[in-house]
Amino acid sequence: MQNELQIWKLVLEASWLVQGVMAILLLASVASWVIIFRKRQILAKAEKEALVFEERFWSGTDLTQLHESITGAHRLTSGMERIFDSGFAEFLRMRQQGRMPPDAMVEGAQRSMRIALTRETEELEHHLNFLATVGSTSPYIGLFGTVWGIMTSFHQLASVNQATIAMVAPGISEALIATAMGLFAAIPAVIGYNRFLNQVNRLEVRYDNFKEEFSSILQRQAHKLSEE
Amino acid sequence: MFSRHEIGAIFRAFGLAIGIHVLMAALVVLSTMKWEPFRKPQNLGLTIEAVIVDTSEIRKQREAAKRAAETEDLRRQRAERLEQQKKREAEHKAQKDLEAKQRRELELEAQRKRDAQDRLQRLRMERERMREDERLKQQQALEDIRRQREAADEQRKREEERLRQIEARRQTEAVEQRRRLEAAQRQQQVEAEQREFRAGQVASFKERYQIAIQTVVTQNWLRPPTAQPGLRCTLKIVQIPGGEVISAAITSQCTGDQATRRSIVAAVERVGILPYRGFEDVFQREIDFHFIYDGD
Repeated sequence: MQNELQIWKLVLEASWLVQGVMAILLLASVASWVIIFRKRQILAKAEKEALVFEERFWSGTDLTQLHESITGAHRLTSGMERIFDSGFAEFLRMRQQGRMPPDAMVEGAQRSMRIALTRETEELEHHLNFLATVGSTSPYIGLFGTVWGIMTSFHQLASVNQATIAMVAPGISEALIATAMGLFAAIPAVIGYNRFLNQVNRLEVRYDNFKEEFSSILQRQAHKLSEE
Repeated sequence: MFSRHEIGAIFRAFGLAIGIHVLMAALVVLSTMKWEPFRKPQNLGLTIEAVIVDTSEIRKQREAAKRAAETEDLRRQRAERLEQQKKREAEHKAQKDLEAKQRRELELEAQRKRDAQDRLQRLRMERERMREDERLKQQQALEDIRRQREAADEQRKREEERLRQIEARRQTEAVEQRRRLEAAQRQQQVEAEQREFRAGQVASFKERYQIAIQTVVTQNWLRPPTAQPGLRCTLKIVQIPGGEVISAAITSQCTGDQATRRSIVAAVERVGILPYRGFEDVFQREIDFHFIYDGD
């Protein structure tokens, strides 16, 4: 019944600049939520895969067989499998090239594993910086909209002799919606960013540990080969 | 660049995000539904209501009222006269009416007496008929009661039969259940025994593994002169499938001195490959190895 008081009316009656600010914030919020949902899924999958692969790797199976089973199906490897695949493939290639010092073989494998590791980390961290940007800047964008709205509503007071609070109140209320929207966009983005960054770091440490352990195994094997 | 699966996942995420925003918008709109108006009506000043009064109008009105009162008096007198005439006529008529009424009442009295006699006779006949009816009804009721009792008897018999059957069934079921319970218990006992047996086997397997490691480590140990019998040391050994030792380190639980500790680690490293074949089931990547020396 009191149609003029509803919040969407306030939004629709706002000045075009404040409306633009609100639109930007809404877009940023939607985009950050899309990233949050997507990242959550990707990271959970990566953690599960790492767990499964580690278990398989340390169960004592033959490394060549493991490598074949991973790369045999022509599927794209990811995460820990990819690190293992790149390191082991490099090691095999070096061995086929003939007599090579064992340290060089291990070093080559390590290098390719390091490359795979950075690539994996980069993929996991992809889009996370967008969350950080939304989290840190959207309060400021919202504040800008609010300041602008308050500015215009005070400006309208200038031409009136007897000013009442009722003349500026709707304008200020309207302008404050922008701040609320900025906070609404920022809070989940910051939470998501911190959470996912922590998760990515833990995964990275895990990959790194695996890389080191695997290269020590390769080193032993290389020395054994050179002794034969 | 994106596979179909990935695009589907992105769309799902997008849908979820839109859903969250719609939900939040609905919440905000609902919670602000009852806000007080922002623009209140602004007629806050005092108002004075005034009416313009014309005195000539009032005088005219008063004169008109006086005139109206005079005409009213005249009309009232005329009406009174009419009233008196009407009253007289009415009295005359009333007397005539009274005579007619008395005559009519006499006739009615005679009629009423006749009617009463008729009704009495009719009532007597009615009563007789009712008595007859009642007798018939009582007879029928008796018949009904007898029939009901018979039916109840039959019902009771049937019920008893059914109860007997249920009881029999329950007894057989109880026996069955007892038998089943006993079988389950026996099964559980057997399983528990088997489990115990297996656990014992694994435990002894672990012990054997421990002893095998102890043997090879002791063979490779160069005992420093400071090592006393009764030495207990726990080492954390990291190995890989195949038994190769990656690293060995003394944990805090060790009774030996520095030289002894170093010598034990050196012994493990000299062994290089721990027993593996035959111990695949108890193999673990990190093991706690308890080194024991009780003198030769």
